[in-house]
Amino acid sequence: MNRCPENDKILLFCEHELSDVERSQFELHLKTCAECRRELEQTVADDALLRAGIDEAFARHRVSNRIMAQIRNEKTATPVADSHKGWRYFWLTAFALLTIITVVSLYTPTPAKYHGRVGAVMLQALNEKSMLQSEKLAVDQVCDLATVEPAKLDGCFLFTVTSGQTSVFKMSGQAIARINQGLPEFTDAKATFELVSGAIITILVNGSPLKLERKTIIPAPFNTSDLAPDRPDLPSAHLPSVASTSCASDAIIDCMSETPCIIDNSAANASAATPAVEAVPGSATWVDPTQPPGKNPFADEPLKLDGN
Amino acid sequence: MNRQERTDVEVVQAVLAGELEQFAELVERYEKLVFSFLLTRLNDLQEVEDIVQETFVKAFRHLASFDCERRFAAWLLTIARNLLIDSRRKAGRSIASTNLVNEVMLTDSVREAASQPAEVVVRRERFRNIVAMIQELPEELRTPFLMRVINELPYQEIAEVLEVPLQTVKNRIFKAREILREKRESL
Ligand SMILES: [Zn+2]
Repeated sequence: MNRCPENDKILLFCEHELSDVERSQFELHLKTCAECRRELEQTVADDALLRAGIDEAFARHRVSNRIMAQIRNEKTATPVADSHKGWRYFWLTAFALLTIITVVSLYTPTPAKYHGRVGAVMLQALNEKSMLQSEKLAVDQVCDLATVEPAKLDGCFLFTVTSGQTSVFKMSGQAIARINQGLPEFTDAKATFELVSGAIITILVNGSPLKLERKTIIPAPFNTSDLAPDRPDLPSAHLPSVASTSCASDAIIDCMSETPCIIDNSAANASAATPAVEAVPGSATWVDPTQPPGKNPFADEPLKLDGN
Repeated sequence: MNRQERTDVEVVQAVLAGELEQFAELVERYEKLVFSFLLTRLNDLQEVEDIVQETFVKAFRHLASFDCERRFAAWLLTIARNLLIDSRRKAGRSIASTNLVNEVMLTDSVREAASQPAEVVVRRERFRNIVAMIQELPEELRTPFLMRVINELPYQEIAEVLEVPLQTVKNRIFKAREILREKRESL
């Protein structure tokens, strides 16, 4: 079938991809060519019909209320929050559960997976004497490691690592903590580490990966099926991480693979004590973890039509 | 602050800081995108609804692991795509979806029947054909095309959401339109 030679311009016209001159010329052509006019009308009409049909279906099948209802029900499983109040409740719940579990010596070898890169790493002092950046840290205060790194720590701290599931481990002693390639990293560490709850987790201690073995599981409200496998293959590059409360991983992609991963019980024991080098003086300035992020990677950019 | 001026990442931060209800803003912004993404891939609208819901709930649960360097919509579509693959694997389903077209247009026709029955029949038939043609498009062409036509997104945004170069998005949308034109002519 022989087409009008201007026919190829129709789609470009529809997509506003013609230059002003081309557009004017094509509009002139449309006045004299019934074939192009018909096809243009057809394309526009089909788009409109498709849009209308799907809009119609969407209007009848919206589930926003269902989504919000379910989320409210899962409120206790809120992924992570800077809210001190929320965290206090979290810790109370976590420790209550932990105590019960320990008492009944319940060990559930649920397949748990941990991806390696993490979302948020929060830290909290376990006693009044614990120091962050050479200053006492209030016990009920929760800090986002990303906003204080490198964090000079001395004392007893709980770290909460969120990557779909939440893992909690304890550090006792001295170390400089930061996030390196999405992993909690401890340098100049003269400390012990112990996994308190959650999935097996790898951290970096004085340059080496250390796998913290799981001892106990908090069964709820965490969703163990959402964890991805432990990946001990740590890059040796020492890159600073992004200072943001929620920057991190593509874990979600792997999270949804169905491959079960059996916990590696041969993992290194949950403590590491290495002689420390002199601690680096805390050069980082304190950043309020509740402050909004500065950068906005989602700002709408003007449509760039850079042609061909 | 004006709600509409807030970026996705700001809303995400608010939700993470405990403002649970703010998540509704993200649902408002992207429910239609996820819906139309799933619509041409599933057999029935009930299933579309379920996966839309699951997508957002999953996103909520994993919000802390959202990489703020990415587009929130890109992340959502990744979740939706994974859930789709999952659901297909579980059900052993194919993509064919004639029921869907019937269902979409059935209520539509009932609603309009009183006024213009003849026109409705023509419209329904046309819509059925268009959807059938779109369903035959390869996924890599179909998704940007739908984002362009249904969600009326600019190329740049489609490129960011699909995480492909801008020119690739343009090429794919043109290719999709070309194929649809060929099919339309052969009807
Ligand atoms: Zn012509």
